[in-house]
Amino acid sequence: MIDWISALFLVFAALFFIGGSVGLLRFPDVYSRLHALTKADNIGLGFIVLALLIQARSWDWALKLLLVWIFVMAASATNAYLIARTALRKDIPVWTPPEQE
Amino acid sequence: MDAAGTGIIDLLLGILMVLLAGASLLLQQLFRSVMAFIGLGLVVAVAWARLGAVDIALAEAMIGSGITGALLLASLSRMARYEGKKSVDPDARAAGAASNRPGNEGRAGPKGIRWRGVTAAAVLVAAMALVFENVFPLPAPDGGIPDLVIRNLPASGVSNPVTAVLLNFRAYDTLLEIGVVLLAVLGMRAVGSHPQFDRSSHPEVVLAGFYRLVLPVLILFSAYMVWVGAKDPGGAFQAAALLAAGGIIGWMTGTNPLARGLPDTGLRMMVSAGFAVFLSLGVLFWIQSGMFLAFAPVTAGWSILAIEVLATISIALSLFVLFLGSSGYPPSARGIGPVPADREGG
Repeated sequence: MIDWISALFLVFAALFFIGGSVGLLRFPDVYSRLHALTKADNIGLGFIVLALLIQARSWDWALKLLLVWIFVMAASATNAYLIARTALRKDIPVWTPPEQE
Repeated sequence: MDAAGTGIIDLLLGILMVLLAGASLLLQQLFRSVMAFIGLGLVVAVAWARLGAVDIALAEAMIGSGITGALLLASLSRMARYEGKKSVDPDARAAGAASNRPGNEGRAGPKGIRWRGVTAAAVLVAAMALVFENVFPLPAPDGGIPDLVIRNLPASGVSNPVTAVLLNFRAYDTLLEIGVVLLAVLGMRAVGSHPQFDRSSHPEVVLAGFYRLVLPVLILFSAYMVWVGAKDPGGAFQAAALLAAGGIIGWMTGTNPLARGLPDTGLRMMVSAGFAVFLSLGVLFWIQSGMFLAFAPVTAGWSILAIEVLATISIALSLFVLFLGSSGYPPSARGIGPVPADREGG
């Protein structure tokens, strides 16, 4: 039973990672790509952690897994901010939707 | 996981490794090469982990990918600053490089590189096939060296076989490795220049927040790495990489963590402490037992711990100083950190 729940979470995680990757490849500018990548990956990793969490053999394992998630989230949020700010400073234009006819 | 599944993962890792290695060598835009190199480090780390070599996986991820990546990026931004605005833009760089080659105009570069990449990949795959042919009937482990290590483990003073090899049985290698790091710092100081430091006018609020969050954890984890190295994966180089990473992030927030409170003499002593103590202990045991670096089993544990702690501090400082150096801010004669423009060349 637990294995199946884990598997389900892992599938969710894969969906979020795929979504993030598609966004990274398909979105029009650096800002929206960053958004897709960091947001979707955080949730994807969250599901992976969740899947492993219910398999954890002891509390310290579970705690470590949670810490991994928290620190990756903090790091990716900081990175996304730094990259976006650098892009803004280098005057990389923000994409605007084309005018409707 | 079943054998087929793990086989596919290993195969993908192998292919990814070759592709990223090729990309880091062949891409014309240096920035992309550096990115490929950082990615390569992470893939190699995963490969080491899958081979069960957790110590090397940690070292590869932290130093091979993390710190080296930071060094390369720092050098890159320094180059951009030296060469002027035009080379800051990677596309401009590539276009410049491509137009320098005869028969290639402007944007023809990427296509040329693709063909070269494909050829290189084909050659590599062929070479790998040859290597696999010879390697894959792996000789059954005859228990030679691993067995020797395990049998002598009690005398080494530690219970992690990797640490036993690195700091006792083959301590000579590690001594020289720490020496190489020291030499790198000496070399950098010898050729050090003092370019301008145009500090960002924008306060790094978000990064500073992140820094406050991770610094205590980095320090704690680094201490844990040194301590746990005696019985589990970990050790001086990994611990030092964590500390150096903390220093680099701190520097990026605009607050050089060592700008105040560390005079140059102190810096020099701390950078060389690991090597000096390692060497002295080696000589001490030489006098005692007639063999260089032959730790006595009784005191080996404490000797190794002392060396690891000091080596951690030395390597961490060295890596941080190397980072400052490659971004163009070597420690000045007045202490570590950026040289004020008005005192340059003084």
